[in-house]
Amino acid sequence: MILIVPQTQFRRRLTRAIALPIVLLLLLSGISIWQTTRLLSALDWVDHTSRVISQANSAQNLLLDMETGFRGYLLTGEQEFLEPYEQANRLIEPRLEELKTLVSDNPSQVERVVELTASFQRWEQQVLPAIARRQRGELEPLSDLRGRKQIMDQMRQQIAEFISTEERLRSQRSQTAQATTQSVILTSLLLAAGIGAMLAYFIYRQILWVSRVYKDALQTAQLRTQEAEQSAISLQRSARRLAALHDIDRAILAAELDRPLIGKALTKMRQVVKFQQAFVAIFDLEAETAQVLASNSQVGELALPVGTRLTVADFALEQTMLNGVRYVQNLSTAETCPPVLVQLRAQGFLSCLSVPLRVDHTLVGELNLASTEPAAFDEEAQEIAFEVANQLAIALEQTRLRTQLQNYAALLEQRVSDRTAQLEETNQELEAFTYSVSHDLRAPLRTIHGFANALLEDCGEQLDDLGRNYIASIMEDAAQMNGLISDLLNYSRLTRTQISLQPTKLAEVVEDALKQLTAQIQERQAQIEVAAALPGVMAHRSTLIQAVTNLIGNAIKFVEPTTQPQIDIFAEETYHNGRRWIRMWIVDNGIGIAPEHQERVFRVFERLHGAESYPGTGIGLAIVRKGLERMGGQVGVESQLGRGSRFWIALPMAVPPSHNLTHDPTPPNSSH
Amino acid sequence: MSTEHTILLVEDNPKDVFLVQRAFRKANITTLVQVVSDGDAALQYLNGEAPYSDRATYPLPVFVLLDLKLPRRSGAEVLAWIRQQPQLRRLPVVALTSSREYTDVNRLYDLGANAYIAKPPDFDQLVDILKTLNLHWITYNEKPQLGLM
Repeated sequence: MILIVPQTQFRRRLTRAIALPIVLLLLLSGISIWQTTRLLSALDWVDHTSRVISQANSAQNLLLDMETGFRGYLLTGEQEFLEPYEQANRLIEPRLEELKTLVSDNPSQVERVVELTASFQRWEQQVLPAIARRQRGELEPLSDLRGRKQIMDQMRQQIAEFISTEERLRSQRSQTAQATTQSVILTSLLLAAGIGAMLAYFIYRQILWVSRVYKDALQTAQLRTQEAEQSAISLQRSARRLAALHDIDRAILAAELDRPLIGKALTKMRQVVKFQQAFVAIFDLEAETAQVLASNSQVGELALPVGTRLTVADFALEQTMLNGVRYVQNLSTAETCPPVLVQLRAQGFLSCLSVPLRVDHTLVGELNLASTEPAAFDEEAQEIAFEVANQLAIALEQTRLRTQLQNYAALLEQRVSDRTAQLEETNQELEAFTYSVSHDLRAPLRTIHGFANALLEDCGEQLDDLGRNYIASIMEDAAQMNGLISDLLNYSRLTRTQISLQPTKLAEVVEDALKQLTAQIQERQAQIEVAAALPGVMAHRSTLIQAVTNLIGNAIKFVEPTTQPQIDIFAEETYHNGRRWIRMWIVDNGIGIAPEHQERVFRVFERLHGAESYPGTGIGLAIVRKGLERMGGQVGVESQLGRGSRFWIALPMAVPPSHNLTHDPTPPNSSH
Repeated sequence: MSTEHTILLVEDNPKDVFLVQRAFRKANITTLVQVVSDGDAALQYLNGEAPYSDRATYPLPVFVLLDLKLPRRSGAEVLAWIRQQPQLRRLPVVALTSSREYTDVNRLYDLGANAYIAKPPDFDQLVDILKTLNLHWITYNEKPQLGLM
């Protein structure tokens, strides 16, 4: 930022640094040109004056030539002498005219030239008659001579005046040129010096400014570098601190027990906080006791070794003080010290930092750091100790909760195993009961039946009809009771035996059931229609045979005595939960079941009719339902009183034996 | 019907013994039926110990009809013992008992029973069963050699 802002300023300055010298140089050149022009014009004037003078001299010479030639002619009378006169006479007038033009800028000189010209003309006017007279041979009067001499002298004087004026002018102009030269040199020198000085000053200023800017920039950069270094250092520190705290966290997460956990945390903490000894004590506020749970020493023996038992009062003079961070910077000057600090002081420690471990505002312990140097714990160390203490408190609480949970789990497990044992015991008792029922109870029944049979056969002839009827009743009831016990045992066996499902053909199952029911079918002259090609299902064969036997048996039995039983058996395929199910129907023309009783008929010992009209044990349908449940199937009935019943059983369709037999325990939807 | 063969009936209930014997008679089976009333006695008989040391009076049976619930030594124990005896281990054993529990049925088969028949409630059925057993084990079945290793 500091470097960017003056960038525009710098550019402006750079522009100025280039523009100003150029302007100054232009100025210098302008002035030089002007001076030179002045000098040249001064020199021109000198030259011009010189030319005027030489012209004037030339004119004077011409006049002299004329006079000389004229005089010679006058004396000699020979034309030859007159020649210089004639030559000069041709030149004199233009020369005078030229002279007049040359000095046109000076009126007084022009006047002199005009006067000279006038004098010349006067002289010439007298010369021409004189020549004519000489040609004629006449003598010149003296007055004429004198008059011409007068004019000539006058002309000489005029020219001399003219020349002297011009010479005066020339010297004047020479002086002016000289002065101009001097002034030009001087001003040039002055200008050059001035501009040079200005430029030097300007460049000095620029360089000064630039150097100042760069010095500033350099300083800023140095400052920045220092700052960056400092922030890098603090970053490193905080990274180290974070890493240490992270390590502590990890240690807390990894360790299950308090002691190694805290030990590790204290070791890790030494990487970021300088201390000689540290220990963690846990408090039991109710018992007012404390115990050192873990210690860490860098030098010497531990002031408070692990396992040291103390009282809470050993840590602070008042219990309320335990809730805050306590920092004793110098133990040797501290006035009143609790026993723990006294002990630390005795071991040569000079400063001590005590941070409470709190869980939900409840004090659970304390983290203590001790150093042999006074005021060893700066603000950062205190912060770290505080953070570590918080972590440790959480860890301690977690451990406590975990232990509690483990205890609960163990208790629960114990209860479960106790209950299981109880149940197993009950189950064994139940099995023993069934066993004795099946064995002991049936044994006398069998002998009753057998002996009644023997009595009838061996002694029947000695008895009258009444006696024989009695025996028949005994045998009938014994058979009835045996059937009851058999059904009960079958039912109880269904609930206990393990069942494995195999692909089973319904056609064979129905065939087996009908075979078992041959006697009943013949007795009632029942008409049974079995659909062709009944499919296969997943079932336990004997259980399914028993269920189907019971259902068909009921269909034959529960029909008005005057009606011939007519039974239809068929199957259909349904889909449920993405699986294919087979529902087999057993439809009869029996007495039917009122809707309110349709659920009850499947319960054990539920009978709708007296033994007189329809004998039975009341267990048959319960066996059917239990059996289907065990096979993962379902049973149901649709019926109206007096209109026959439609019983159905549903089982998963048979799958090839290679498939795993994981039957879906949810039965198919019974609604249509 | 051969009279050379003997069947050993191990049954503690005298009424059942009576009924079985009556059924044998009713089935016209003349095979000799020797009866012992507990497990120990069965072992003594098969081992030829007193009071069954006389093999002429108490010959080795063609097969054993074994009840399971017996005093002193159960039918299962008797069967296990038989299968451990080098002399007797091939002796056919038919369990004839009131229990239809799978635990009993499976255990007996595991121990090496040759058949397992539940005592029927109906006397006539018992007669049928004995007829069948006679036909199977005495008339048609090839007897194993006992006492040879």
